[in-house]
Amino acid sequence: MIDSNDPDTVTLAQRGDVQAVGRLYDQHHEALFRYIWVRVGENQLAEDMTGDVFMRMLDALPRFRPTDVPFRAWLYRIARNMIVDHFRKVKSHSVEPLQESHAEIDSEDNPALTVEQKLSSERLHQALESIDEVQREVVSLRFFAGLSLEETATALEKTEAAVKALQHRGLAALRQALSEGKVYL
Amino acid sequence: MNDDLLQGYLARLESGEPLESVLAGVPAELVELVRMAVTLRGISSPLRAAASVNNNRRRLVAAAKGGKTMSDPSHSPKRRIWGAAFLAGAAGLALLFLFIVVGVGVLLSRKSLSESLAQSPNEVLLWNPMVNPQVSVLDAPNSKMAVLRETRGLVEIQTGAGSWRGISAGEMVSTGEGVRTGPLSSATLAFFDGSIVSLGSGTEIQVSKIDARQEGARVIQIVQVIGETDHVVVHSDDPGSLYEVIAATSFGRAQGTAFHVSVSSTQTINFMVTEGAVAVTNAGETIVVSAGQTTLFDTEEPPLPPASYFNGEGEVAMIGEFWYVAGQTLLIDPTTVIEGDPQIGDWVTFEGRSMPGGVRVADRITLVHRSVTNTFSFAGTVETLGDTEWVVSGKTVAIDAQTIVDAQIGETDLVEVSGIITAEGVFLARDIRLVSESSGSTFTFTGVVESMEPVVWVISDLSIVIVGSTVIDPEIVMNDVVQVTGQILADGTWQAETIEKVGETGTFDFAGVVVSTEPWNVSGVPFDVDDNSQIDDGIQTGNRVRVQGTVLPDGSWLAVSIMQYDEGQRHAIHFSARVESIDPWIIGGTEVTADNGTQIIGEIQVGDLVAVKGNLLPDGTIVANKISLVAEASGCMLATGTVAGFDGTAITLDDGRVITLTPSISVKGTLELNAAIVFETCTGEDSQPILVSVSVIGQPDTQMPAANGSKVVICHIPSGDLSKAHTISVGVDAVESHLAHGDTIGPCP
Repeated sequence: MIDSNDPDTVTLAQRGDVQAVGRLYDQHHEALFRYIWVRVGENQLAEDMTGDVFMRMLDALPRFRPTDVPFRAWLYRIARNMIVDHFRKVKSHSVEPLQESHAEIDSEDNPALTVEQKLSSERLHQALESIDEVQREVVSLRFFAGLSLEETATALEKTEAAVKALQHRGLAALRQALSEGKVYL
Repeated sequence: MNDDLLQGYLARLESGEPLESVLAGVPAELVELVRMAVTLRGISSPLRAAASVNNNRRRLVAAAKGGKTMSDPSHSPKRRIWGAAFLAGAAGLALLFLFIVVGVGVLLSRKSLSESLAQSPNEVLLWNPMVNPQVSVLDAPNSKMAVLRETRGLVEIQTGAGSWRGISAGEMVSTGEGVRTGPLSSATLAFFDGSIVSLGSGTEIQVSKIDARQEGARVIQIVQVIGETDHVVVHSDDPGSLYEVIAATSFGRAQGTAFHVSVSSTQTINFMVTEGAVAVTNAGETIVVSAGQTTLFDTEEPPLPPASYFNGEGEVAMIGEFWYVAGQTLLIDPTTVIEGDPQIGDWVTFEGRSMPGGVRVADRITLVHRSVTNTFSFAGTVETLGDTEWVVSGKTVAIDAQTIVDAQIGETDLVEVSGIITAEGVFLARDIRLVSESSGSTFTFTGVVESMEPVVWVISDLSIVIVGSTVIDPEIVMNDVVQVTGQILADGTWQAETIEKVGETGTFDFAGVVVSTEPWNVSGVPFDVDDNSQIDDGIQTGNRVRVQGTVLPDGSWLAVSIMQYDEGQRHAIHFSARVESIDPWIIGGTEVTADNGTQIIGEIQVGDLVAVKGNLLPDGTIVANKISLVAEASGCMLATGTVAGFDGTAITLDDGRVITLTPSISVKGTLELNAAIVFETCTGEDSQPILVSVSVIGQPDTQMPAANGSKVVICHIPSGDLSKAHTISVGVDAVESHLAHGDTIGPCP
């Protein structure tokens, strides 16, 4: 796991170290893209927004205070705000199918899984869209972006206890939604 | 309570504990939720286009650089490079120098522009974006903006705050903003009305006015600080339309269309017009430069009278006061710029002006690549290794201290050997590379450093992985031109072994698998070919090839040779040398076997330069498949002129040159006295120029007089009333005042 909250890199980037800015991109762009992709459902849009998040990050870096918030939580807060802005702009939060996920659920972890039971990207997205918005945020940040409980709580400006509860309810709701759709995990 | 329990199990998973271990103690009601969490984490996101990832990164790093430059300009490597440009600009101001090129636009329709833009190689991007230009299909959203249609290499924008930052294709440029290109870089800017300006490498412009409306008076004003620009101005019927290229306080005006502007670091200015006409004023004097003409001058001097121009490329056959290139004699004068130290046998591009009497004065000669004479290359299996010579597939090659040999090569390895043939006929290896049976192979190329991260450098848009063993010249800074050597790994990664600073003349050399041949793409890297590229016959998609070539000033890659060395071609050998004997064939000191299957191309005689393609037999014998005459001083030239007379057999130009027509040449367009023409010649096998084509590019009524004091045809529009417009002739000195009240150069439409 990359040291996602590497204070030295962030500090150097704040001081204008271009290589440090590049390292921040290298460290975070994959997970950030994954998070945005699962939220917006379009590959190219997710790619564009990933780039925009980093540009916004660059603008905001001088104001970032590492003592106030972990860097990764701060970065995902920027991303979340951009996603919210995006959906606000497109007005209707219509569901776009996730495109060409190369998801291959490891059947070794779940021997009962059959080809037919594999989770399709489209179904996953539909299921995510069907659950409560805050639960969806928690699930996306925890299990797609890979944020810790603490980071998720900070990014969403909630308590860890609240995130634990949202995480539990979100997984259960997602499980329920997928079961109703006859898609098994 | 269950919330805490679930989080506890998830935390154990996050710490690396195996799923089955964690599940052992999980209550039944949480088992599926834990499984689901694991599954969600295991879902991969879609494959991402490397182009998008790289572009985002480049955009971010460039933006970061911009901020740094603003805060600490004295430490910006960019400043070192561009400082001269700014100083030159300031000097130009002090000298009260100004150009204004007014384009009211003729000849080029929006449709033809669209068609030309449609040729942008978007599909190439699908293969590999790394050394491709970035291309955007976006249009400028309104008349107040221009869009960057294409960028290659390092392209930056200067916004109102004064700092420079990287900019990508698709981004917009507005009034007051500057655009500049680094070495081995280029950019194309498209305006709302369809007019286009293209920037060559090392060029800086400021867009001082944009109101590129499609209807009504279009106003575009560009300040060119330094470098090379090409302008294509869309026709506008509105008499108030203006297309200006400004340098300082003197000015020149012209009727738009298509033209080239060059501003050197010493403030020598060149206008070259390919369509329509351009009026150029400097030091208080105005001349009109028509299609096919060029003018050159310094800031304090009036423009030189318009002259026909020429340009081309070819092999250098003679160097001195006169150069002989592509079968043409070029006069070198003190102002001639010679780039790259070309030598006899090398391939160059050239451009200049035709003087009265037909003397061609070279303004610039630029090295493209070194001579291929007395060189060889082949792929084969190493049979013996020695200190002074190796035997590869039966062929003995000499080794010396300058020979670069891949360290890991052993006997029985497949290698690619290249080098020179000495005067004694010895095949002296300069480079012996291991050819991997998989997809890995070596590479060398020259490019400009755009990013220097710890793990990945971006060099001319190509991502290069740096490892611990990579040897890097410690003096390299951003924007330096460097040569990179390394390995292309099996996964397509370009891993650097050495990176060192070099001059700006760039070459590349790599081996890989052919992805496509139209356009050419090998192992994901696209490149161009031209008529002079030496390409093995029968290369198909999937073949393994070695590509060698030149990195052109705009950063694009032009292949000089593409050589096949697949399994079946392993023992192929190529070399070029002079014929010493024909029966038996001894070429460059080496005996070559020609049999019934050998193609002999051209009437070859002893002393001629030939190219040999053949196979190495196990005993080292070379059996030629093809021996072909290589035209010395080969190449082509495109030149312009004004017709002073013609009949069915020849065209006489006003500078005294005579173009002899042949039955196979049909003149495109209608020949008339005083028409401007462009003609192309290429050298044949006897090294003599052969006429290839003749086209009329300007008819007499659109051509402007060539010297001061003559009359200029203008469209006079009284009080701006188009209904009263009529064609008149005025003295050159009066052109400026007419243009000022809305008249346009050339006859009324």
